[in-house]
Amino acid sequence: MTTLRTKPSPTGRLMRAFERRALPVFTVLAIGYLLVPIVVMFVFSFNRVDQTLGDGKFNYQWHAFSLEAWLHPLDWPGLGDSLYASLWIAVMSTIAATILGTLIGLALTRYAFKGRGAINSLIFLPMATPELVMGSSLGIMFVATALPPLRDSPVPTLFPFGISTILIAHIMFNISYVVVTVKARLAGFDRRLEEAAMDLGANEWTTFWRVTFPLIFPGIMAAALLAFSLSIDDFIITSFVSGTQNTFPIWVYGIIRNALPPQINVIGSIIFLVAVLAVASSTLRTGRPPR
Amino acid sequence: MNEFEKKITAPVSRRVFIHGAGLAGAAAFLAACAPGGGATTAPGATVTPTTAPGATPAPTPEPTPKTISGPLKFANWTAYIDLVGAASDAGEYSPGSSPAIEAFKQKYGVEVDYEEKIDDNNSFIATIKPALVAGLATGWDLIVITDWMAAKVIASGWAEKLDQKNVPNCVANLRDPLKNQVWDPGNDYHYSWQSGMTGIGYNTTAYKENGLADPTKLADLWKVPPNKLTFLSESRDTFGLALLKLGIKADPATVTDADLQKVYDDIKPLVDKGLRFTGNDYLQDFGQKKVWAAMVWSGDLASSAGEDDVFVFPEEGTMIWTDNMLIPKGAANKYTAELMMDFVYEPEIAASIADWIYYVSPVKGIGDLIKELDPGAEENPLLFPTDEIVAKQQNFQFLPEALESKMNELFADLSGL
Amino acid sequence: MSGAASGSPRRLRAWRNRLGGATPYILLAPGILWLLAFYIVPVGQMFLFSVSTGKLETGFQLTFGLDAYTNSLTRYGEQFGHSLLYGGIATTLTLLIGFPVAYTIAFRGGRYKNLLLFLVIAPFFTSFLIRTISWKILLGDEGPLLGPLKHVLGIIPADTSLISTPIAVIAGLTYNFLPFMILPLYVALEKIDLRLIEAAYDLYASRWEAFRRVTLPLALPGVFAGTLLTFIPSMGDFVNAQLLGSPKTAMIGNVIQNQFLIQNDYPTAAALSFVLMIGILVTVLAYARFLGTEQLTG
Repeated sequence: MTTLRTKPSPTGRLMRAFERRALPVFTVLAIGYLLVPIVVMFVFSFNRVDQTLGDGKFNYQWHAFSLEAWLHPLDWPGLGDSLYASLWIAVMSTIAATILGTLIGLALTRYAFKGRGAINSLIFLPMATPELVMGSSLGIMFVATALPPLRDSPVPTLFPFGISTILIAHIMFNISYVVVTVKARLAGFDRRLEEAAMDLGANEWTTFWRVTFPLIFPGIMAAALLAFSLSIDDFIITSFVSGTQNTFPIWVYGIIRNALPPQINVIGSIIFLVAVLAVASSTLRTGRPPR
Repeated sequence: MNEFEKKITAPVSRRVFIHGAGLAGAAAFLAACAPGGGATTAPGATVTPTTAPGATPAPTPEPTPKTISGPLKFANWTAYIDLVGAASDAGEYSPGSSPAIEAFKQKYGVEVDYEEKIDDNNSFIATIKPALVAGLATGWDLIVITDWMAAKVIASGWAEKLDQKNVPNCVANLRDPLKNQVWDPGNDYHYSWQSGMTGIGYNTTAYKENGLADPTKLADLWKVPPNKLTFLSESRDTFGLALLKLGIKADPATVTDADLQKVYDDIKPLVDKGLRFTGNDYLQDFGQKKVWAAMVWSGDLASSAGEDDVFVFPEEGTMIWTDNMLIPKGAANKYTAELMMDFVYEPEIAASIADWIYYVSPVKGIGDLIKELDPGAEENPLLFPTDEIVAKQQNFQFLPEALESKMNELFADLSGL
Repeated sequence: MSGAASGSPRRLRAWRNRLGGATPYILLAPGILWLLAFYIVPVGQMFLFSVSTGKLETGFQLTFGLDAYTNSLTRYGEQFGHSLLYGGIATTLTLLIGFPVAYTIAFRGGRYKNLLLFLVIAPFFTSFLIRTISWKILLGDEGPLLGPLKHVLGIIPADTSLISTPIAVIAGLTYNFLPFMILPLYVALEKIDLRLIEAAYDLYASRWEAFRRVTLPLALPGVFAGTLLTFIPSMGDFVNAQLLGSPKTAMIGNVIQNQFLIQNDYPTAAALSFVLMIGILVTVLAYARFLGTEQLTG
């Protein structure tokens, strides 16, 4: 901008050229690399995998174009049930984790109290722990509640594995993510709005519901969306605590040994499209990109 | 101020109430839609464990209630029932479903949750072992496991005693060679599902493309590039065949630790070059053209793989084994499970299943039925092994404990886990 | 709560102060209790199991013996090495690929910034398993990548296989965690005040110097966050190794999963999990010290 800059050296020019040409190309390639599996998933959902026609049972090679999978997306035994279970668990765990996490977020940002640092660390720990460790430790604990000595103690027996154990695990790991998201949104919240409401005669409860809550609602929604998507896609933790109950990822993992129906690609594509639409519609509605 | 406050707060309390009621209603609705049923929804729901774990089972079976409950949770191996359903039959069966199961569902009006969850005896039993040890329901009503594991499960008291009155077809139609097993002489706890053999499977196209002669002996497997080869994760099958390859009779009574060590030394170089161990997932590998040859179970390639994937009876011999239906302790739908066992012993059903899965049926006299169903199939050695093949069958199932631990140790080292 | 129509503001404030002391704890209680019960207690229980001995059938006794640790570390040292190696390489690769991408989006994105970011996180809208399965298709022996190379161009031998090699596992890990690296880097780079870079130029810095001495240090928090978000999960991953690898490429995650689900050997599984956790914590702290940033929690 100023005229005091020295003339660009050869390396400087090289760098500028690099930055202007090579970097964008590289970025486009990298993003393409990120999107390739999605394209593959989408394309192969239109593959015909018909055993009676000699295609075998696996959707690994292209055979022929077919709308069969799209016309009968839930047609594989167990697919519908596992998908329903996944959705139900995601909804329930999102509700619970959002409530619990929002409360924690409110407490952490608006009050100074003893043990705040410890609580912060406690919230951070599950995000820094590998899912594997969380899953196996939960699984071991659930089993232990069914074996002596805990079996005969007042501790409830959280065994056999099933919907409830999966739900417990999902709520557990979602809480941290909700707290972090809500805190980020609460940090920018202007307390004076609340004080103004109180000055106008509103009590605590009213203030919260009519002033605070609507303003932090987008943050809560963002946290809920995050929790929902984490729960629906969770595989590692769920695999340790699911037992005979299938969720969609568990079902997929189980079936790929024996068959790879294109219905999996169809469901994946549908989930993808729904997510894209959700993001697009929220962008269009607020007129601003979501943060 | 009070009037003002009243104006602000009154609508809020009404709104809060409506919201609260709405939320409560929604919560009740959601809770009611909880997926899954039976023993697996509530934690700690002990579904009538009849005896404490480890205790000897009751001398006479309790009279099974005659109510048909469901859904029947049936765990089985891959490609082990007539999963004929295809897109072309979309009107009748959805892809991946079985006419035999559909017929059962229609006959008894009960849902069946058939899952091909079993890939390997050890891994499957491990998933239900904690529940069995704790005396709780496992979540399964009917499982199919191989002889040696069935023997262990029964010996540990983890199988439900069958009510023979509920399974007349089984009693009448079980083939004589399969009766009077040492580990369950009166068929109190099990009925055979299918018998099969372990041998060589290979892809003719891959062999031709790469200039390999078709395999006839076990030693030919060692000629394939190891990263294009798989052996079985069932250690008994892998070690058994490898013993045969080395010319050692695979007889549990005569095999020694030194023999097992020879097998280890023979297989280790292959592992170092990329050999893998699979269960039924070799079907996936054949489907992806990932392997050229493998140790396989006799019926799978014929039922579920491509046209050019072929099973071969090795010259040295094959391993013979039988898979058996058992009802795990604490099963919620025991009567329904018994009905299923009885159902698959009906000759027509047995014939239709065997015809599709290409294994040796335990049911007497289905040869004629198969001839009608699928002319020419009665000559198929996979279904009806010839005397020559039978003579070379070896049973390496029941190992003495010391031998078994040695084999497990060596195998764990080979398979990497 | 007292009646809806409260009294004067003074009473309100007094009442709020009285309750204020307890309010945070009331708000915290449900969530924190849940975390305590289902995160802290299981980890503690896992520790107790790791110093127990016994089998599932015969019961476990708390013996406070370190057998599980010594046995598992000697037996599974190789798998730990795999986790470190593959995780480390994958993290480095994501950094090398991710940094230019984040830089381009932050500094050159312009109008397309949000679209590009959206494309970066688009993979997350599909299931993690399905993405890995797609890679199985792509890297298959006769798949769209190797097939043409083998048969059309003929430059690699016919029995080359990428699946079941460490290369496939690392490729899978890199792919799955790339967005986790790009996003924090982007956030850090985007916050950089451009005027600082301008100032560097004004002080006769070349482009490279400005980058090295201004941009890079300011981006370090992003590098740190991204590395954490990539390294930690990839150390504990077992899905990539299972779907794309072979028993020879087994990572410690596969061992833990096997020990827990198939061998029912809870002491060994617990010991290995603990070692993994401690190892990660130590690495993270050392890395933080090395980078000189103390930004651990938000």
